[in-house]
Amino acid sequence: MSSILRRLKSVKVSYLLNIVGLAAAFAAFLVIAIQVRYDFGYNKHFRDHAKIFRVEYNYETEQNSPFSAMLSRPYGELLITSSADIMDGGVVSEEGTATVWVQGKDESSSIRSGLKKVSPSILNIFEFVITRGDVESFTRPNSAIISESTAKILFGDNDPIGKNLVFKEGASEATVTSVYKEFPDNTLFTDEIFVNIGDYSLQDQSEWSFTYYLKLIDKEAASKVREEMVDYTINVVAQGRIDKDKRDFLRLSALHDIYFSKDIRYDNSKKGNLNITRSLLSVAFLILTIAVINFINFAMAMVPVRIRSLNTRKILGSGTLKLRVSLVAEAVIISLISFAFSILILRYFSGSEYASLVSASTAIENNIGNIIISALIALLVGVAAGIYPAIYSTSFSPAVAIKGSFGLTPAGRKMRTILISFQYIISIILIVFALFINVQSKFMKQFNMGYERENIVNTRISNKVAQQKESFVERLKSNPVVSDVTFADGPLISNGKMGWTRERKGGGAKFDCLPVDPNFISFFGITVTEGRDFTEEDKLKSNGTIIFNQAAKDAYELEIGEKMIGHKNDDPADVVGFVKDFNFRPLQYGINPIALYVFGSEPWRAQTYMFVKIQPGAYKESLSHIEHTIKEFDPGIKNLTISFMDESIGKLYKKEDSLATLILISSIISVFISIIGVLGLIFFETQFRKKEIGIRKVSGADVTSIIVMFNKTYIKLVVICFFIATPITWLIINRWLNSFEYKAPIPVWIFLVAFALILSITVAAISLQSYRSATANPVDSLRSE
Amino acid sequence: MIQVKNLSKIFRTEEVETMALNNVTFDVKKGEFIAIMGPSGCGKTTLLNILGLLDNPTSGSYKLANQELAGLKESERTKHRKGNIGFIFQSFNLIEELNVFENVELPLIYMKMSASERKRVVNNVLERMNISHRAKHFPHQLSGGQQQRVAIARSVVSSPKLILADEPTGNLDSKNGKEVMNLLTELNREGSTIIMVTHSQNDAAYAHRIISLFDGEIV
Repeated sequence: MSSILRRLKSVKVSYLLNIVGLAAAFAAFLVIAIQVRYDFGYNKHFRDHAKIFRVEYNYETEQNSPFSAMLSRPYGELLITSSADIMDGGVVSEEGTATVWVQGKDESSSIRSGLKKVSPSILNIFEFVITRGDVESFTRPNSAIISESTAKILFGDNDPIGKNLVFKEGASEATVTSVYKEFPDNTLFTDEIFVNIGDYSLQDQSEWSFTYYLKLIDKEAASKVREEMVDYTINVVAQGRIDKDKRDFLRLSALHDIYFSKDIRYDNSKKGNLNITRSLLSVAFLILTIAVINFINFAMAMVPVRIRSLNTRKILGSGTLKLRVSLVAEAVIISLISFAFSILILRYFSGSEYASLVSASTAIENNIGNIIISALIALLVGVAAGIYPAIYSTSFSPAVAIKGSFGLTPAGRKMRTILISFQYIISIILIVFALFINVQSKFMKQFNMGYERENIVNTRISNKVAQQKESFVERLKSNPVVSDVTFADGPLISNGKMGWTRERKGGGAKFDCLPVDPNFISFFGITVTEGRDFTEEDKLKSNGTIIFNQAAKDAYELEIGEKMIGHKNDDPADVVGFVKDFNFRPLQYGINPIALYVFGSEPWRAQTYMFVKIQPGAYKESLSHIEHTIKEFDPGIKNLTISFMDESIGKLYKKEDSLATLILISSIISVFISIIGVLGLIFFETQFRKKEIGIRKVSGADVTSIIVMFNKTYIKLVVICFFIATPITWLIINRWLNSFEYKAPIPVWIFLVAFALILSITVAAISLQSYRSATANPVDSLRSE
Repeated sequence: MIQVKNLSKIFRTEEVETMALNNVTFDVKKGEFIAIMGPSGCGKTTLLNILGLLDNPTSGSYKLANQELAGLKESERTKHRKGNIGFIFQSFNLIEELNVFENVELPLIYMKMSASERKRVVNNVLERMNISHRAKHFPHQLSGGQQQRVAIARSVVSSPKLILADEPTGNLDSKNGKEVMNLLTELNREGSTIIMVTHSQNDAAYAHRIISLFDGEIV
């Protein structure tokens, strides 16, 4: 051990460089591993997660048409009974976010909390851990189960069991029957309030807004259960009304797969991106590969320095195996020292603004498992990087070792060149990929989505404000900074809108539906292609007015003037027009049929999503005026956020932006590690070629020629690596783009930038390192023997 | 051709100061063959390094072809050295990665001579040194005598005004050593000025004049 430490001390600089590079690589690997484990571990917290499935339905059964995560309650309840292999089934109804407070207290004490209405069986299926109260009480109507953190906020140290909660939306109440332990962040549920759904919509065949989960006897039963459910639907539920040969309308999605699934509609659950997660995993291993290559290069470059001392030990009696073990142990120690430094880097990262790039917590105490696994990988890295140099440097016979010059053998040079080339190729790929993700992200943010987005802010008003809409809008518009206002039932862009399935001649029609104010289409500048826009008179009708997009018209051969059931079964709405397709989902998805709907005189509810067009440049004044006016009409309103539409749209691509930043940071680290590798090699080369440099200087070489001589080799290498990396990167980018509906063209400049960056950093590093040798006095290296 | 006046060289470290040369004064005429002799550590190699512009004196004057060269910066010394001074070392100092041809053509590359002209000049010199049949070989494939002949070829390829030889036969057997001394004599007869550092009386006998050094001074 002492000889290992002495060896390390004697070559401080080279090992320091190695440790810095390795530490950076391990830190990057750790951060990415945290994110990847978060994504791949999504919903796997539940012990029986492999047996839990979500029921998904596809009415169209056309090729590539997406499934829907929504069923009606009557249908869902019947499906639960359709197979003996279904252990349990339950329903979840997403209620969004609710304002809630304890009955008897003032509304000002309210909080905003996620709200779901569920059947009691959901608590068993998802293994809720009850810490207070009991599960059985949840079967009572209007009972609620809250998380420990919610209980703490609402009740402090008081017992919440038996207390009533008041929900502002819907003016309803529920009684707390139990408290549960929060789920980890990467699960379907986190810390929402769950209310017993009771028999809500149990008889309503037209309301398809409910998600059903099943727990099967085992995961292998899924395909059998699906077949049984299909048979049951055809024979019992539809009673012959469905074509017996069409059997693709139902599927069961495993709980873990829900997180990554994209071919699904009306799915409000948190989504990951499998492409992104896989990309990150690949990046993590690429960085590790670069660092290992560096390590091997360093160790091999050290061979000539050490071969004489190793040889002497051999001559004095040390066994070869002992020497090899000692060399591998040295590599492992360096690797573990680097890993220790990487933990420090992780600690710094976790406290910095960059921590928000990662969905999971990067705090050390929350990642002990990840750290242990990474430590084992560091150990393996040390062994892997140390084995070959250990074997190589101890394989020479003493006679050969005493005479030979091993530093610059052609074979050694070739191997180092190949290894450095790998590093360069990986670095170029990472830089180009990071730049392209940025290009794609910008492309999506700037994409013409078919409506105006600039100088428009959006916010959510309360029901109290919505009930005073006319005077509220008048007050808003009284300030000339506000040019127009409109409302809708939800955000313009989202992946989950209200889903309607309506019967009509020739079959049913399934489409998204967004209830809007009559001026919605004109506000956003959406183009009416046929028929007419909404008018103020549509607000006076009781039956509702529909305008479809072109995709709906093409899918269902809709016609102007036809009647279609809207919000009233007995008074169908009028189809009055069609608009040009516009993107109402993030650009990872395409355009589906959608209906813009004006309720008329008997709306289900008030539209609370407000969009305000403001004068360009008057941003501060506009936001202040809007906020002030809202608070004037509802002084108690809480959690009011007003954001620009562009910002809101930008947030939809947060995952892509985070990926781009993570990959950019990773590529910077990989370039950094590669350059450290190059620096290290140049350091050794200038040492070994000291005499040669002296001879060249004696023969008339000036400083510039010496620096150019070193640079030439690596410049050639960078050029060759660029030509190898370019087609590989092209393929990777094209493959990655397959997951997008809208693809940015691949610009040439990203390749040129990567090339210029790598080349300039390489030349700068080599020139700086070789300058010292180039300016040294040749006398110092040319001594007579 | 060479005027050295009151040349001194002091090597300083943290602990000790060593006077390697102490007010050395001598002249060398064009076409002379000078041998510098003296015991180990007397300053012979230091003097040779200063004459070859590989090092600067601490004080004193060194003129080559009437040009004062003492105290020049490294870049200026390189400029003056290029094409004017050829070196022959005891340990040959050939570059292992380059073959014989490439080793010899090195000074011509740094003089920015064209490739075709370099080829002509190098081939002539190799022929002259009787080593052209080994042009594609690498140094480790040559004997000691052959390596020294290559080193001599390299030193004369640019037709320098001055050839400096530091113990040129030190690593050779007597037969090869004699061959090398004959070569140097031939070059001198053709007009090259040669200054040779040697321990060997035998080798010194080839010179026109011997300068003896002892403890950094001419005796």
